[in-house]
Amino acid sequence: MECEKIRELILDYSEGDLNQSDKLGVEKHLKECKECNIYFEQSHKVWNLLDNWHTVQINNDFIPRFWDRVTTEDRKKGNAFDFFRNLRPNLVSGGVGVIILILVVFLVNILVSHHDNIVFTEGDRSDEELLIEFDRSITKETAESLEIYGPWSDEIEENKGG
Amino acid sequence: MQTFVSLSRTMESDIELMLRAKTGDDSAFTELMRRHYKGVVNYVYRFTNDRANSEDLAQEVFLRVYRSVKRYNPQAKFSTWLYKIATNLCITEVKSRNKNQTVSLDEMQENTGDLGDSKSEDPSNLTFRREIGTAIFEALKSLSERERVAIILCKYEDLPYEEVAEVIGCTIGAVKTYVHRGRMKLIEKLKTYL
Ligand SMILES: [Zn+2]
Repeated sequence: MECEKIRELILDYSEGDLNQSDKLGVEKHLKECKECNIYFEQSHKVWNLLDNWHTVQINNDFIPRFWDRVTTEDRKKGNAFDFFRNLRPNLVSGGVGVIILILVVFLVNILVSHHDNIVFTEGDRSDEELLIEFDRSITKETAESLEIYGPWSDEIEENKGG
Repeated sequence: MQTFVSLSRTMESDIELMLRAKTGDDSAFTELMRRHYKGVVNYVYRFTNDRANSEDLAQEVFLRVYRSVKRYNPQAKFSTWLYKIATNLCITEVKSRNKNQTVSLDEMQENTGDLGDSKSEDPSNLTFRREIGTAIFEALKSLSERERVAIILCKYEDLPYEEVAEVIGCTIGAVKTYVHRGRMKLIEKLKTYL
């Protein structure tokens, strides 16, 4: 048998799980092959070496702490459910309030707009045109009247100085 | 009569306890935990090498079992189901730790391993135990996930190959291959101690 095949069987061999012919085959190979023999030994050694990593010490209150954790989580969940449960009636009353508010605003708006009803007549239009014309002429005059103080260029400043 | 009842209770299998827990009997779940918590804490510890957080993670495993007890279907052994949940949780934990690896070396030394009776133990012995523990952890960490799970479950949790196969979700032959390959790699990694 090849070395690789033997090494695969070594686990079963050391646990006594091989059939008779495989067992004899492994034993025969181990007598002849130095490398597989070393592997067989090391495989055992490394398996036993793992025992040096000891178990961890555990606190005695593991189980009571577990139940405390369950209780805390359940309480938190309960609180969340209570919030949603309370939220439902709150949402209904809140919704009704908002609808009432909208209706009030709507009615007030109708009443107020009824009093301030503006009718835009042909006379109003001509008044507005007059006002626009007046505004333009003022702007123009204002700009022209300001010319008496100018033009304020550097040239004039120089002439005054000269 | 009471002796008979308590005697029959101690004879109850994990599955029977789980079925009682399913009906809301918390004492049955307490008994299940009493039977398995040491194994689960140590399993988590072998995976993470973090003494301080192993109990918390193990509690998380039991919490998941407890929350899904209503869905329990006694097709597999309880311990198979338990170790499957523990394995998934450990793999997720290790991956997230690798992503956010911020634990300093000092912290690692502090959290590593069982300190045992550190007052009465010979300091050199204690140092060796710490060193070998870390070396074994690092060697196991270098294996593939399946090799690692197979070796930890076979070696430290003493689970039969059939159960390990169910936890991993493979054949018994595959488990043996994982253990064999894992051992070969461990020989290489730990040869200074052989
Ligand atoms: Zn050979």
